[in-house]
Amino acid sequence: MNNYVNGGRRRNRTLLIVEGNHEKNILFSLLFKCFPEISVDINDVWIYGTNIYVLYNDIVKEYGSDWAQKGDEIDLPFVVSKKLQPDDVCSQRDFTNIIIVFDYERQDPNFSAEKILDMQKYFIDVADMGKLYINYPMIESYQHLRSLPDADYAERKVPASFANEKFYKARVRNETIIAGAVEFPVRLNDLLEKHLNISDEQVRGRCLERITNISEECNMEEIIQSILEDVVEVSVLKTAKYQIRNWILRCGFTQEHHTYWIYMRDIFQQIVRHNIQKANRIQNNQYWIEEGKYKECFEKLSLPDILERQNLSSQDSSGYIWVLNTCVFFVADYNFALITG
Amino acid sequence: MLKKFEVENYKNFKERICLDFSNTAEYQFSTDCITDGLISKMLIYGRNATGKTNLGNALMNICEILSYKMRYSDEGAFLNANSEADAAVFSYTFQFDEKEVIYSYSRLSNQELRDEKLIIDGITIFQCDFVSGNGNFENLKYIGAETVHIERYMQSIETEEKSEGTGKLELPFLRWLIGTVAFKNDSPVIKLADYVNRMVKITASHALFVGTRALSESFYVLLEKPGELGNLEEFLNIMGVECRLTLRKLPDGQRQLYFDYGKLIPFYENASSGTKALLVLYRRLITVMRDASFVYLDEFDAFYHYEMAENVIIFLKNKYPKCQIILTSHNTNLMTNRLMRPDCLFILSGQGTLTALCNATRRELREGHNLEKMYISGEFERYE
Repeated sequence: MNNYVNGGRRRNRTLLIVEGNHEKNILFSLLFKCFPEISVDINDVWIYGTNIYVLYNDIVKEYGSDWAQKGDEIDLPFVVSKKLQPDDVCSQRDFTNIIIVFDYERQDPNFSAEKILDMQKYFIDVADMGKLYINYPMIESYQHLRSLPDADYAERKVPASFANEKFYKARVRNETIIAGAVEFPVRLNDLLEKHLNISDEQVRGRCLERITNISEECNMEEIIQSILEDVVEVSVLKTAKYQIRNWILRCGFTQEHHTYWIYMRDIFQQIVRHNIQKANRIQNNQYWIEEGKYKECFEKLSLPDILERQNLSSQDSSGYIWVLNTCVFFVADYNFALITG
Repeated sequence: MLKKFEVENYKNFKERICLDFSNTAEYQFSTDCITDGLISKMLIYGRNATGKTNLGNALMNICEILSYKMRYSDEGAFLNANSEADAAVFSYTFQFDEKEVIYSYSRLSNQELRDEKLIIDGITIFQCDFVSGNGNFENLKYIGAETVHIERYMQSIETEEKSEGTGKLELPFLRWLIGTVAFKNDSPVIKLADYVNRMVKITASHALFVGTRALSESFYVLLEKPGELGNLEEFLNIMGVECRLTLRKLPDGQRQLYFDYGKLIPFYENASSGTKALLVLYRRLITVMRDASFVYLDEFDAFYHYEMAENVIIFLKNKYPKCQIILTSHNTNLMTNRLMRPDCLFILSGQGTLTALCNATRRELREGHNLEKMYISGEFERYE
């Protein structure tokens, strides 16, 4: 046998660099599912959990402490893979999306306004070197809407001294109207697995898929029953179908004759628009954006500028951090029509 | 200008492949790739053996149809080997001012036409079926050709049939019409003929086979004119080949081109492949096709340094703003919005599909995107 053929390069992958928080993985799975146009196969997503300062140090180790000044080209997949799997290093050329998502974490003892700004200024293109999305004060900010629309989001801030994980998460939990809908598939999966004893992941996945694709209220119980009857015990079937029906009704997607995914797509579109307005508020002191001007406004946003303003407003313990989620901008960056359509 | 070209069942293109020059996006950069709303500078990429050269041959096929001078070219297999269809179908849509002219025909082989049709602004001017011998010529009045004697054309065809084996394509009606009728200069038929006359295909690899005497004497004669040698020298210098040239007439009357480094060094024996390729390009474009309407430059930068390849594109854009130029290349360095744009960069796939980068992804391609990196990392792999 000849050995002319190389192994072949695996490409068209997505690198998602996060802090390893399960919720972030949920968020992106949801985004990829709600916006299938992004065409990211979840199996081709490589999730790397780290902290922004650890990542910064990894870059320094490879390219030197003056990498930002030298204008070196940073190959993040190379940096990450060299650390994780030195025998099988990857390259930027293998990834079509490099998404870096970190919390602002003003409270972090390693916090460095300069380092974080270096990163924000360099990582500006998802399809090239990668793009850094910093969430203020943390990832949960995408759920921090009390209503839809929520005009008060314009001035929503957190005191710099209280911008820690425990405090902010509790506050979001208390105020959000988004969390219930976001968590619906996870809760449903738990119900199917732990209470209805569907241990086979594939079977569970199929049930979940069919339930989340229900869009009408009429005959809902019958539809749920037909989905579950062959996979759950008869003794729990009746309870299960009413419980799931109630969950669906509470989530609200069938009221609008939508599947769960279409419903969530609409919610995410609203979340992105709220955050474009909020970013505009921080950068240009203008929250309201004329309909039809969102794209123009989005293209003028500068994440380094916003970061500098956040650094400034939160530098004293009496200061504040504007609540802002930028990682949902990934969708608008990919194709703005996904937000308007 | 050529607005759309379609071909089917020709060589490796079993299914219909379409080049739609009017399918432009609203990019506000590299606007010099667009002329009068149509793509005028196009760069095609594709893996080896996807048919880039065949596509050029397909586009140039109309030259065989309409030119009296051209004999059919023996390009090997003509029809697609996997298809059961008996003819290759060609369709050219032109836009001349406000008029849309569609000329289509199908060929059973290099020599045999199956049918031919001309449509102007939606009106079928004529239609010929060479297999059945039927035709529809009722609307010739729309092009001022109502007085032509169709019988004479029929006689011409019969004469052609008798002289089989001459290697000539049987006489297409449009070619006969152009040669017979005194059309006004602004006639769409004349514009079509003029456009086709000025179409050219250049293959860079031919430069490798250019020998010492390969440059025609007429080119040397042209270089003798005041300023012309300086123009060639300037062209080579702009492209990054720093040199001085001298043209000398030898005792036997023939001319010889030299590099002039104080001492004269014969050009062809010593020029690099890249420099020879540049000279071939210069000779074909600058002298033979000064007023080209359409140029297909196959693997145009096969011997060029990446900067030279960029320079050639910039030169072509500046020198031929109105000319429709299609370049094929493997040089991904040229896949940049600095030079081109996503609606003018195409991928030819092994399946015979031709897709502009902007249509090969759902991602909104912006000026700042690094298209080369995206291509290499597989952003457009579904269309490769």
